[in-house]
Amino acid sequence: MVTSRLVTKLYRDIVVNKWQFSAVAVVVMLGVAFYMAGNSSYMNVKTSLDYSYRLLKFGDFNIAFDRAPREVVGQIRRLPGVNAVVGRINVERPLEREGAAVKEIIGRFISLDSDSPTVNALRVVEGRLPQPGHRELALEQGFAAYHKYKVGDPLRIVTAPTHEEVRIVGLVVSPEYIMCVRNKQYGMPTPSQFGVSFLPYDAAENLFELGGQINEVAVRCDPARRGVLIDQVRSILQPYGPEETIVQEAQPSNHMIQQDLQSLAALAGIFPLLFLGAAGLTIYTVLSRIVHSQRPHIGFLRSSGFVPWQIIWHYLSYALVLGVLGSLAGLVFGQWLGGHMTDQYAKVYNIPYLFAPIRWDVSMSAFFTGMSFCFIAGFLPARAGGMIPPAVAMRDEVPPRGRQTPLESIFPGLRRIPSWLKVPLRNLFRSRRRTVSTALGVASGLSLVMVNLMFRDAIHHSISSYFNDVQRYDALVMFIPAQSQDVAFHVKQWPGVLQVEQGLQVPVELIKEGKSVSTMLIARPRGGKLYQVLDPPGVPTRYRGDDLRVGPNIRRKLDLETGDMVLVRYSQSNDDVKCERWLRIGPPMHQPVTSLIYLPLTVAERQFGSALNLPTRPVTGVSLLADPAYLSGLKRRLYELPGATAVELTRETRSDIESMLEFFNLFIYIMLLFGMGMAFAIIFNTLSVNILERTRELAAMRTLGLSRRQIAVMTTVENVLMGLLGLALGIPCGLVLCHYMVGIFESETMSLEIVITTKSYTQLVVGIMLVVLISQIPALRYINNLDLAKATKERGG
Amino acid sequence: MAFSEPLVVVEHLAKAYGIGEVQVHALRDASLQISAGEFVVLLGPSGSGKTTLLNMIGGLDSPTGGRVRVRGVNIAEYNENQLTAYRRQTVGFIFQFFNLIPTLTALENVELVAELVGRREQALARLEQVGLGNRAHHFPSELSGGEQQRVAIARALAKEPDVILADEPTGNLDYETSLVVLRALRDVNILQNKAVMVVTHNNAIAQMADTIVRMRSGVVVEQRRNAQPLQPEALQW
Repeated sequence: MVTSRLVTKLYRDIVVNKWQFSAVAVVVMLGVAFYMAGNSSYMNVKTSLDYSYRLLKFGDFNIAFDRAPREVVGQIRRLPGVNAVVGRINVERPLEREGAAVKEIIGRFISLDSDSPTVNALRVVEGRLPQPGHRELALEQGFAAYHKYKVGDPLRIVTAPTHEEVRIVGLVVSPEYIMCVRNKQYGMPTPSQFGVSFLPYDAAENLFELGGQINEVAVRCDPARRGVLIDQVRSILQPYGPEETIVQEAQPSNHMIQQDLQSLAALAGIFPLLFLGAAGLTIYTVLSRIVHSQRPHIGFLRSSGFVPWQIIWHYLSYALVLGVLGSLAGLVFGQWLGGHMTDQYAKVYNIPYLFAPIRWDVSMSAFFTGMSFCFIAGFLPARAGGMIPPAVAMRDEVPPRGRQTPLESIFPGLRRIPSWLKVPLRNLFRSRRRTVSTALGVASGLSLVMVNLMFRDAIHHSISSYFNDVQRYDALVMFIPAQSQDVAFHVKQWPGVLQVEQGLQVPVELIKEGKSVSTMLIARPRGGKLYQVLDPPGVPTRYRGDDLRVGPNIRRKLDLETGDMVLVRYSQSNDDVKCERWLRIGPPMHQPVTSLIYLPLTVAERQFGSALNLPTRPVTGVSLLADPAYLSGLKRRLYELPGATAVELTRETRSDIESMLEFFNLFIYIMLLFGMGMAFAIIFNTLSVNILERTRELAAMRTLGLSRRQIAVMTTVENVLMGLLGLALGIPCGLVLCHYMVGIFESETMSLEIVITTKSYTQLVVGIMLVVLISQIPALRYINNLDLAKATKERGG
Repeated sequence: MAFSEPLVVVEHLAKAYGIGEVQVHALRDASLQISAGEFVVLLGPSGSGKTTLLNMIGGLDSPTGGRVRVRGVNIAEYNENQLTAYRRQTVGFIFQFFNLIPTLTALENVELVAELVGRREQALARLEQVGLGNRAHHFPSELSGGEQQRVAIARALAKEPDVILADEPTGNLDYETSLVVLRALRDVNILQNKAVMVVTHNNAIAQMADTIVRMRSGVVVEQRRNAQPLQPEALQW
């Protein structure tokens, strides 16, 4: 049974050292808070998404085709395993908007077969669903917000040669367009150029001249029968030219969100453990110091008859109190932070239904994890204290063996340096425990900050690298169907156009040993400059040979090596248009963003031209460099070219990407602040302990005649040396951590390499050393104000 | 004064241990006896083995040779649990540097030990016994050196041990304060019939002992009765 006066001692010791304890508790709090916030927000988003999909009856698969009578829906409905099926019209038309060029904004129009569709239902955010017999539609909410459409506004649809106006009666969210992505090749929402609307079937069939017909089915089914059902449905749709089946997990919006969620889950898992690990190190250091300074008290307690486990429990209680206080505060802060993070995620992802309960399971897990780290960190020094033999504890600690340092052996000149330098240098070697724990403290603080600086720099580098070295054009016009290369020569004559290159773009699947990846094949001229392929580590290369260039993401997914043969299938292959080729994989390439694949234009023409019924010397895109003053006008003119379906301005794409990354950047900056806070707390505690556990020694030096300034200089030199040692240890450790984090973060759209700019390194090193210098101030002040007579007599703290 | 059968019998005790790279023979062949109610002063120069012998008798450490029999039982063969129980029940320690817990008051320091043996309610009485009842709620930093040492005495008495072992109890105190502490120890010895063993290098203090033991180089070189022990007030140094 623990003696109650030991509890009094515990409480009073904590009060006396309240600032130090508070600093450690803050470190624990931050770790637990982030565990709680990261995991609860991730689970909230995931649960909300699953809940939304369930409530809105998200389809298990879609198949588009040319056009078919509505009766096919009945055939599909009768298949065993089909829970629900809708047939719909799904077409794209340009929208007219003041200030925008024709075809600049593409609208996708999807018909509704009823008020409450049995597959892919809608959530009405404002207004109502459109009614049959009326020329009205519901607009996807994100697109409406971007273009400031309101309920009641008309939407002008280009139905050449004229246009139609349809009234917006509602703003909605669809499970298929939570991230409103046009298709997988686009990789991100582009509300400036693409939006989705929903209208009654009768309005759609009239507007788009598809009387009694549909061109897409969406199916919900028994998951166990999905594979079989897809084949059966394709068989029913065979006469109508079915395109690629889009299963739920490959559906562009869902795929993109799931990728983000995976990264989120990984970050929510690893970051809190880093913080708690650092908290553990701090607790270990602080408690070791307390045990060390209370050796005489431990000796007294043991001599009085306290058993070892009572001593162990007493000192372990410090860590447990820290754990409880820090973890409880962390739960409160984490709950608040998690709520805010969930709200932000919900805004970014436009999730239809938000489900954000108080997560007692996450709370328990966060609390238990925080307590576990504190327990483990505190157990070792507590055990050491409890197991000290009483006679040993009563003895004065044997001074460490005094000797010259290894450095002095290697550099004999160091023996002649003045004492104010020699003493700090020798102190580094005299107590390895103190030096190692200080260096580890500095290193762990540095690593935390370094990872976040790396993310900031790496993302910036990836985007810059992509737009400076890969996508170097100012504008790209895309054509459906493919046009002749003559259009490139035509565009080149326009005022303001400086350079033009043609290209071919084919949606394909890469297939190897049963595994497949959907992507876009980009074919460019050998020696092209406006869109380049990069060899590692980022050097532009000229296309050589006929090999297919594939980036690291796809290579990893399909386990591809240079020289392998891979089947490249046109993604819309069907019985009418069947196109697949075996191509050889070329050398690795550097690909900071996207997962596209590349062939020389002439090779692509040869391999796919005739199979896809393309014209001679086909192009599906023309990229150009232009005088910036002419760019807006050129955009309008490009839309007017025959077959032009989309025009991309690089500056707008870059802006969209940077907007999309705003939330992630915010996340990184929050992590950076957390990391800096942790670094300060760790270094503050470690250095304070270093100074305070040598109170008697420093007091003795003052009584010998050294001034406060001299003590401060010697202490500062020692701390700076330990800080530098921590930097030397922390930078390689930080780089290892960066490698690990980058591996977690990688996705299909972005592949990070470790980039830390010179400016970041400078900020890191200067910041850490400043923290080292500032952290020692309170302890030095304590030493300066010591009662020297008392301090030189007393043993222990 | 005649004493009862010996309470503590030390026979040919030896202790060797390492300090850093040095092997130290703190005790080579020490033998002595302590009876209940006896006041023993252990004298010797620095490094003679006084504190080590005290630690052996107190069960703080185990010898490398010889025996320490307390009430006929050789505690040198005790395991750690038995030694702990022995320290809890039989001995009370007083140290040169007091070793009071700085974050506990005088009363709480005594209670800390009294609770071990279920006598917490007697803590205040122990403090009053050493004349510090009115300083019970003061922290060590608010007490003089002599007062702190008297708190340490009260703390040692809180367990009602058979033997009080004091290692240089006046080593940190001035003359006047030392007398106060020695008086308190003498009172405990006489009024409560406790065996008291005081380790010191101050020859003058030996004049108040019933038995004077001298050590040199780890060996007891003399153990003699003091025919006329002085009162503490009569001591001069």
